[in-house]
Amino acid sequence: MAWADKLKSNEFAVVAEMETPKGVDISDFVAAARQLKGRVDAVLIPDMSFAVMRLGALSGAVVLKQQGLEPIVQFSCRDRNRLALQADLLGAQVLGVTSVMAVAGEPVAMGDHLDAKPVYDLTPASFLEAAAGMAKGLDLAGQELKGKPKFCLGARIEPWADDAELAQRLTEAKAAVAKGASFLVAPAVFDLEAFGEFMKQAKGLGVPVIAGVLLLKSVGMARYLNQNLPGVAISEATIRRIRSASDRTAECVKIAAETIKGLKPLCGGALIITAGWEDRLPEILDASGL
Amino acid sequence: MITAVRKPLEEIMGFAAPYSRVLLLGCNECVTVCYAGGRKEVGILASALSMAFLKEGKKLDIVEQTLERQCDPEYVEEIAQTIDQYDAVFSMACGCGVQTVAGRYKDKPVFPMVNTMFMGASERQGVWAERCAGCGECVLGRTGGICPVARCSKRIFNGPCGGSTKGKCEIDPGVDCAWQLIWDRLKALGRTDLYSEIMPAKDWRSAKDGGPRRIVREDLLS
Repeated sequence: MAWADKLKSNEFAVVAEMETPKGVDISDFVAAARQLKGRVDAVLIPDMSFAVMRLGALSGAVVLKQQGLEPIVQFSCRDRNRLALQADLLGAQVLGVTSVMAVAGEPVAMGDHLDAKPVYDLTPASFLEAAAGMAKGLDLAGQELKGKPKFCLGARIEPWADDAELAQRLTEAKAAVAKGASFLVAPAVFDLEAFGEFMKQAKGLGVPVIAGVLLLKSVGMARYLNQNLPGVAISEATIRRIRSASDRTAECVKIAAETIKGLKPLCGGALIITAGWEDRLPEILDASGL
Repeated sequence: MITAVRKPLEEIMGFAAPYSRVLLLGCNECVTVCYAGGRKEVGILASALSMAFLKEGKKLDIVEQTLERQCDPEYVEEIAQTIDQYDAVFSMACGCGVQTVAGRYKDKPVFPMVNTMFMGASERQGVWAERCAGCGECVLGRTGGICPVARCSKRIFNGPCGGSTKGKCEIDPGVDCAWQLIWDRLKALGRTDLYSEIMPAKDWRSAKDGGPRRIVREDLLS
């Protein structure tokens, strides 16, 4: 089922995130993709997340499409100006990749090319405007296009640390939907109760919210996230659970699966993020009963 | 110097609409040298604003004052005793000055009266041109004293692009090709060897691209 149709079906959508390889050896990437075929509704391909140079997201999307998967491509505003972003939107369309979303992109200072010149010409909001305008046949300069592209547009809800920030995020999300976003990707969930409270407010947005489920890999990672990611509060009970497990990785898989199960009645879907551990995705899906 | 040009009167009128008494604050530094926001321009703008308001049958009380430097907290302190008399401050300084005033007097609206343009030099009376982009890692020693970052339209290194014709830039025949200027000067200096040295991809961290910058001089800290 195409991603746009899945969104309309009101069924819980399962999306896996897959990083492209750093290099041209795509064997592991393809192997991980094959394991997902028929098990997820879409695969989200980040665009050089954390400013680490790797195979372009659109190229990765085409590879995944060849494997029979439904790709959602991210476009980072950090690396391309409005000409390049629009050109690649057209490129995605002719390559059969129609589900797209923009992200601002983490700062160059977080990545592996510290001396690079970032772009930030468009914001994710103006990217949505550009894509929506192109679907009507006009580019950002008001020039007519030969053939109108048709996109399924998404937008990200950035993290929030308090109620004031949450109100801001909801306003941004509402604006994104008004600009044409037909799905929203929410930050990783570690507290289902708090997320449930958020969803009470987010339900009114009118489009499916796909919640992030980040696979924890260690106690250290959990502590790091608690300290460095806004709005993340992984409970001491969860951390204790990982620490005392005989097989810590298996326990982390179990925690992710429990989160996915818990999200089912709350929102439109889950985005499973394994951050390099894509080979664990089938285990997570098995444990989630998906 | 930092160059600036005054904003259109209509825009300033829009800022002034809700107020009856404002402080029109000039700056004695860069904006004085480029005739955008010094004592003289404060007087001219005050007259223009008053007349424009009178024409609309309204009155705006404008108090004129010019500080030595608006980008220096020490001088900005001079208006501390009188600031409460005004509804707003209309600053004729560059963006640095406007922000220093706004940062010091947090409950007072501060509006810019000029558009800050660039770091430039005077070419002749009435003409200023961009000369420095503040990239944080000066290459002028290798480029004959002519900056490719500030003066090449594409900010490229290692020679001109294909759009350089007869010493002019393709974006505008009135714009000199920076790399032609660099070549000519290196030739005059007998240092064309520098032109042949390929400069590595620029490290943009020291420029604005690494985020807002600051200088901390430990030896001067009090």
